[in-house]
Amino acid sequence: MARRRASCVARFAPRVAGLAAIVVLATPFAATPPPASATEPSPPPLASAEADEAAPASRRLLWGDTHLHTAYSFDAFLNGNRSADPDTAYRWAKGLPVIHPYHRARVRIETPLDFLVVADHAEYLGVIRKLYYEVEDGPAAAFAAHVRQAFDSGRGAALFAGVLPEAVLEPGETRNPIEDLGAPTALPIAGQDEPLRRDAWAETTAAADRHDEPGRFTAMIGWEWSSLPNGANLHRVVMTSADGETARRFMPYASSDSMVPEDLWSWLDATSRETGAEFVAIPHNPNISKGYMWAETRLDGTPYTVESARTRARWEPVAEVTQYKGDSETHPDLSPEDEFADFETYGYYIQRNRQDYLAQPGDYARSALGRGLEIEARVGANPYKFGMIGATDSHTGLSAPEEDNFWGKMALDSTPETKMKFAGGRGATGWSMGAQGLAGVWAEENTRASILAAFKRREVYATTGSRIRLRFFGGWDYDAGDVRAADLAERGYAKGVPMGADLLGRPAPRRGLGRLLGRGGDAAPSFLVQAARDPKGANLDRVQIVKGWLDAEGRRREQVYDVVWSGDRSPDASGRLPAVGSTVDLERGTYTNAIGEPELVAVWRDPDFDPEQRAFYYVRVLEIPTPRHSLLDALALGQEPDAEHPPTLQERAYSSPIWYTP
Amino acid sequence: MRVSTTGNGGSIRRLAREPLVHFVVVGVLGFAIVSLVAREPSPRDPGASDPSRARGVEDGVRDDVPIRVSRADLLAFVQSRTGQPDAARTEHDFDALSGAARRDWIDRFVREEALVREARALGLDRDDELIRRHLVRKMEFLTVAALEDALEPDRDALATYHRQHAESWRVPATLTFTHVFARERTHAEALLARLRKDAVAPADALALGDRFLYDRHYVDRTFDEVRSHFGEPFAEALSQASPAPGVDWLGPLRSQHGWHLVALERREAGRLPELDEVEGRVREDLLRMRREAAIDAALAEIVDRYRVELEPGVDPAASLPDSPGSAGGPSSETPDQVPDPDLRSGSDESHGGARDDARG
Repeated sequence: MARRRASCVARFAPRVAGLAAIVVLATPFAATPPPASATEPSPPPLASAEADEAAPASRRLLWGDTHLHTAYSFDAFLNGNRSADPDTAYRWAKGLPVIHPYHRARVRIETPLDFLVVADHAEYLGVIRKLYYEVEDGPAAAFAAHVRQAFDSGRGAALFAGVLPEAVLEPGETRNPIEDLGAPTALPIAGQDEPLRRDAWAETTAAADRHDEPGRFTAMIGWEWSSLPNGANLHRVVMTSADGETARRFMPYASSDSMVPEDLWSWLDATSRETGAEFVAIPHNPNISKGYMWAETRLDGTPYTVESARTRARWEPVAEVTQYKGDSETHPDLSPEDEFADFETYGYYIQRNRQDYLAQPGDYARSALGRGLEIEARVGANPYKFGMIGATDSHTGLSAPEEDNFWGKMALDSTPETKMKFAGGRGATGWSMGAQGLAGVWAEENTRASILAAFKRREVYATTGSRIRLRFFGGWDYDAGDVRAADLAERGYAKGVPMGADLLGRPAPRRGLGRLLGRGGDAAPSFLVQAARDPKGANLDRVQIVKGWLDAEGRRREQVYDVVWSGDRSPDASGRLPAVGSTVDLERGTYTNAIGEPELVAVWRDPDFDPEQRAFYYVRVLEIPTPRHSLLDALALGQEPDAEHPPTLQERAYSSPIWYTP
Repeated sequence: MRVSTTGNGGSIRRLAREPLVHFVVVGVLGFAIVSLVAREPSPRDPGASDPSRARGVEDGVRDDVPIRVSRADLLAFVQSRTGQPDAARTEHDFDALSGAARRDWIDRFVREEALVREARALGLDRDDELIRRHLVRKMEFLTVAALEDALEPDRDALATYHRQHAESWRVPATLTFTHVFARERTHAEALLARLRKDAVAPADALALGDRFLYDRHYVDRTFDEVRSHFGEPFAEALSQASPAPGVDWLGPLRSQHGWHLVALERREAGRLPELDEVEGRVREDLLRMRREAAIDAALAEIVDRYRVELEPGVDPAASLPDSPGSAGGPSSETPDQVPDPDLRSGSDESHGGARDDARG
């Protein structure tokens, strides 16, 4: 395996064809000579061991899933998960063997998680399960009998479908989706399920406390608020650092309380004041929100104000942009120049009737981050200033984003044969689901408080299930020495800000060569990025930086720069870097690390920086191709791979952005 | 099936905290079922609350009307439970199952039939297919409810279980160390000389050497993680080395990345924690185990009251008929089916048990 030399230069693909194919940007003002021998300068003295523990560079990387459903979720239960409860979920996450809720085989995660949020739907929380197993009399008995009848005659999934909305808005419409809801979607147990919900909440919060082991494994308490007006997915996972005793002072806020996100935030604010619990709300599946997740306006069509924009940014610092039901970084229709945009694209709305999928700017993170800049330019605050994570949204109780250890979206679609038949999203099959993702979190320690704090400062990132390690810093003075330095992280924090933050300060006029780097004699921001492969996984293909900005006319623009890559490849005349190739054996479902690099590191300086323009920057790391779960299934079944999905994929990581504001 | 006990208002309530019995005997079970059923009289089933009628349950083996397992009945049962719309497909799939899997289906069929009869003997019956399934579930539910209090372990039971299954709560071995990384061996050796000569403390060494792709400071990390970052020989070397808090640099140790100088601060051996440290988890695991075992035992007890006869075509041990799709396979003759005389002992090996219902 070729080992890449420490890159002391930053490389990027030119934005426009016609510029030089590769611009090699020698950093002319290197402050620190690269350490070359043992006779290197003494390191700066460190005050004390305690101070070092508290230093940001000592933050460690934690891996977790913030979005996991168990048999306590009504849809999980109705789709075949009758046994994997919160206990099962935590045991799986900790690496213990568990019984699969559908096929009953013993299963086990390959690498345990550091933290888990059991986030069952607040609506009918634990209710269907209790109706089925426990309710024999009382006011809910009639409906309990109905549930048993439906389930026992194999129509559980149909009962679930009956709760789905019948969309009356056409994709592309922007009027308030709550005004005309179409067919009613509630189960006929209004008011009768509250005691059952209360019991379930008590059980699930107690389970979290039982499994929380500070320093070793964190069980965060959470739930999902499942607002779905007109099939527009506005779902949020809510998580809290509070313990069970505090959490039992409230009931999880549900879409039956209100479908309006502002009402959720008001409730979070009031409940936070009342109980001291801290919360973060995490939107997910914007890709099927029909443009409403990150719309131009608030949900009711009124424009954002400074206050409403700040309220949203306060409660929603992070978005879940990749999960089983597809990837929401961007869409090929929205980013036609981006050759990697069509990744795990999922276009099936959650509703009864079928409507053709339409990708809209409010559906994808990249366009939404740009839209945030537009709103900020207009009203003075950015409602869409969010970091990015991945999660699974698994409904099997098993957080399973490992591609070769993926156990289905629902329990029903957990085997190769049932994946074929499963019609979870009005036309989707089990192979439409992607085995993804994970949240990487840079935290002081593995505790509830520390993890919640990392989410609030957005020092978190998304992967599509692979444990790609990623550091990303932005500042004005990173240079070649930082790329080579053993104390890269210390330098990263000392000279700039980490992922999720705002660039500090303004560009200063520079003398000499610095003048060439930006307009009007101002320097451009520099970024330090270090990506390392999953220690048990595939090598890396390339590191890219995605820049979004507002141009002089205030229009949203985007550009993807290749920053550092494996092998001896050069961009072609149009600036396009050739593909890394593939080692995947399609007959055996295997790959090797004969191509790619274990680590890619670079300092990159924005060649097109304009200090007058708002911008955001985030990193995208691509792995070399590996087999997709659908290929492994096809091989197991002895049939041709499913034609609708590629047999291989390039797992990836998305950092949270760093923002620049003039 | 799992019934939670942590709710504060569910329909299952613990009646007493003191464990009176730890093993379930038929009489207790029968009585518990009767008394629980009696608390939920159904107006249409006056017999359900009639203990004199229910008492017959305890009479032992019911061989007056054996449970007959015909191939047709069994296939219909399999079809209804799998939701497979196509009968021919069901038959094909069933015949392709292993002997153990077919035996499992037979056990499930027999168990359901036994429970249905038992429920009918209790007067719970109504002539309806769905009610029939409901009866089975209700019997299971009542069985669990009746058992729940008896399952609560005392301290002695916890201690015994903890001793017997100590490995289940093992705390894995961990390593705490700082390393300085160099790609070249000569560089590593020069660095080592300097680290030793100047007695450089680990916290002051973070800026020395080459950049490393993962961490430099590892706190309480498992061997699995260390292996994944540095490879097996490195992890093995650290498993042998003597920890030396303070200043003592080992190395150079080789990994797939290059050379490492290591200050090994601490190595926690894997250990088996005392009961006090893990009592909550031990209790939870023991309860889980007892609940499952008790359900299996209680239901097997009911099933055992019935004599089971397998009709031709349902023997799990019989060789497979040729599957229709496989060309050139063995003869499609189906040998005569020989009833398995020892089905009951076979049912003990069944892992479907009370959790059958959880098969989606």
